[in-house]
Amino acid sequence: MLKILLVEDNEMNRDMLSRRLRRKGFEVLLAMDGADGISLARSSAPDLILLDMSLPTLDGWTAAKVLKGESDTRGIPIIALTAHAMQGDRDRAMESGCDEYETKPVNLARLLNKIETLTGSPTHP
Amino acid sequence: MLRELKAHFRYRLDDVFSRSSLSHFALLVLLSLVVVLIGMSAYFFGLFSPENADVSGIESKIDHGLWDSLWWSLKHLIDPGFFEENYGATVPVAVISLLIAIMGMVIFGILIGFISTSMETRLAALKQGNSPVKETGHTLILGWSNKVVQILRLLGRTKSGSRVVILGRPEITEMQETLRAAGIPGPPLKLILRSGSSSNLLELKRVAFERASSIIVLAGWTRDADASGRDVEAIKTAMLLSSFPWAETRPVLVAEVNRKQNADIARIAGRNQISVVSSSEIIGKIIVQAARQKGLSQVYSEILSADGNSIRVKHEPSCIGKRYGDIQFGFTQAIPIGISWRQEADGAARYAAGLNPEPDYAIDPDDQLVLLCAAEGTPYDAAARPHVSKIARTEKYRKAPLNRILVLGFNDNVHDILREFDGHVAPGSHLHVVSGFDDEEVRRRLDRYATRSYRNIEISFSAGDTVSAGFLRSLEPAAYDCIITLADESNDDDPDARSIMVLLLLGDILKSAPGGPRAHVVSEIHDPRDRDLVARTAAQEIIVSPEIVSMQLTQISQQPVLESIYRELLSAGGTEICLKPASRYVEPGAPCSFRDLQYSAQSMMETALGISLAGRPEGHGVILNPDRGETWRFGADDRVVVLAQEIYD
Repeated sequence: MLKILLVEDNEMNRDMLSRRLRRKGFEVLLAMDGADGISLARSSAPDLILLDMSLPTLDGWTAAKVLKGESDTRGIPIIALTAHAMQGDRDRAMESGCDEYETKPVNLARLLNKIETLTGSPTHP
Repeated sequence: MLRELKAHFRYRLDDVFSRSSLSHFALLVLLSLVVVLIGMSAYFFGLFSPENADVSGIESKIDHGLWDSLWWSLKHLIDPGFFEENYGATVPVAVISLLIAIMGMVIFGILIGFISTSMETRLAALKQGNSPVKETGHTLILGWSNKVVQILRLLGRTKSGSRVVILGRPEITEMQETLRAAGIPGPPLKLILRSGSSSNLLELKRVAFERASSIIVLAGWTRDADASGRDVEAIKTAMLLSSFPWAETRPVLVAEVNRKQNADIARIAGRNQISVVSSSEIIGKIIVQAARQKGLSQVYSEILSADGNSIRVKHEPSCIGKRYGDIQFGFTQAIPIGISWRQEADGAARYAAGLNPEPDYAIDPDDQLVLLCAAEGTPYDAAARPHVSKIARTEKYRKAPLNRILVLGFNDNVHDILREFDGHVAPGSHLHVVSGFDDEEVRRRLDRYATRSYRNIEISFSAGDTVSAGFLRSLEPAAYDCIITLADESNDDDPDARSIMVLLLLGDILKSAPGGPRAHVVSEIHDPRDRDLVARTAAQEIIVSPEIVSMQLTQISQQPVLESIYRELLSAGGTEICLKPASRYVEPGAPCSFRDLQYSAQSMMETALGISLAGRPEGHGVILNPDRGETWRFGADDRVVVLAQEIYD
């Protein structure tokens, strides 16, 4: 079972996406801000991180840089989640170290394809 | 020695009088006994001597001794008029007779006084409502504020015939007077009033809080304390309620606090068992949303009120396994806007919700549908086929920027309004606040809320009299994208009256501006009775702040899941209700049905909720959940009300 860390401050987005991912058979860990996300990534070594970019305390861009700068978490693929649908936002997320980019509202089928590509594991268990 | 005895006697007497009325009566009985004994002394002064044998009032049928003396003395005490029957008696007997008759009058006077005082005390206690409430399944309102009237009106409409108990600080007569002036209680509700403090467990037991079906805790609202201070009692009450060892069924608990930062404290105090609503946060969010979207205040007025369409949660077994996008077309009188499910987290169960899910989301057996509908029991046609529109289009749309905002007036909600604007506007936007307070006073008041620096907006403050036409003109209001008039507490005037005057002047200034009125005008008022007056001014969006908060509190007390739904709808950067040009969804002028709009909105990951027609009289342009059989032809200014993930960049 793939372990996914979802870092998202919006309660409803967190509830909804985690529910959908669990229904697809993933184990989902939850964090509400960038600092919590980094700490959970270090301690639980997820297979993939879904990282919202507009987070309180420590934003997603900074969190991605921290995670990609540490040897223990560097190898974990990160998919950036944001409502900012501009090309500049995509580039900014990729520059901060994210491996993929997904706009909100999340299209689950598209997200599953990206997870499959990044982890190499089938997402239809 | 004598003086000391006198002082001692007086002290004892004071002691007796300071005790209960029972001790007063005991003292009276003792006094009567002494008088009777004095009367009996007539026996030793020849009461039954032959000289008194013919006196009609002196009878000796028992023993010609003590018993007959007792009877004679007692008769004088009970009926002072008996003295008259002693005419012809010997002088000593006549004097004693007169003495005890006078004493009898005094004692009876005191007795009548005691009875009258105790009756008055008892009646006052009954008026005070000191007797314990014996209801079960009632709605309990803890606290008293200007929101009570609106809550009762809503309960009267949605829970007709139910019993509502109010425990408030004011005297019962004061509460009764306020309710009577507002036309409450009406026939739909059985209202029970009690005066007392909600942060006292004994008082809570007096109103049968453990047997209530829902409890609404109101924040204080007097102006003699700051907004944070007024939240103390609500927070203490939340602590009491959450620490109470509830039986299996616990009432739905919802608490209001004034300040947003106190909402977190109230949630901790309520151990996450209580839905907490911050009135300044709600008002701030609604004002900012209404500033950004024309017509939105009308949408929220309908959704939050008991009239028309509102949000309801329903389990619909025939929808299980179907796509969220498809079930849209199976309802003809309701619009699915999301799903809700029971979720266990940290040992506590809560209802989570997701709004505007993807069209391919398959409904689970434990999913409940979140519907926008006018009544319970809206039918679902499981055989209905998904609609495919041939005229749907998906045009790009960009919201008009909100770069310059003018706020006229100051009250406790300003801090939350500024913070909310900061989350909604583009960097570099400017907001100017004008009130009766000077710059220093405004900053002092805002600092009280430990303001953080704002990321996107630059804020400036100035002091001035906004009801002066010259001063208002000098602000150049026509240069702003949006003007907000707040129910102003920076002077002693009636806030609504002041707003009306400002709006009248503003309308005049904007009308004469080159190019006509451009700014979108949003007005906050306190009294719903002023709405019609404000509607005749320059105000395009009217927000009656106590009404909005009471409506939300009442709805959450009946469906707790609505707390997270409203929080999401009103927050920047999540799923929001938006009004977008109809041309984004269908060809302008082409005949279309609401089904076409639903189809088109779905293809852009949105949920269509209704339409907003331009040129209709104020308050009649928005039609939510419209008739599916009706055909519309939209003009350039008509809009579609949708639920969508908003983008802030």
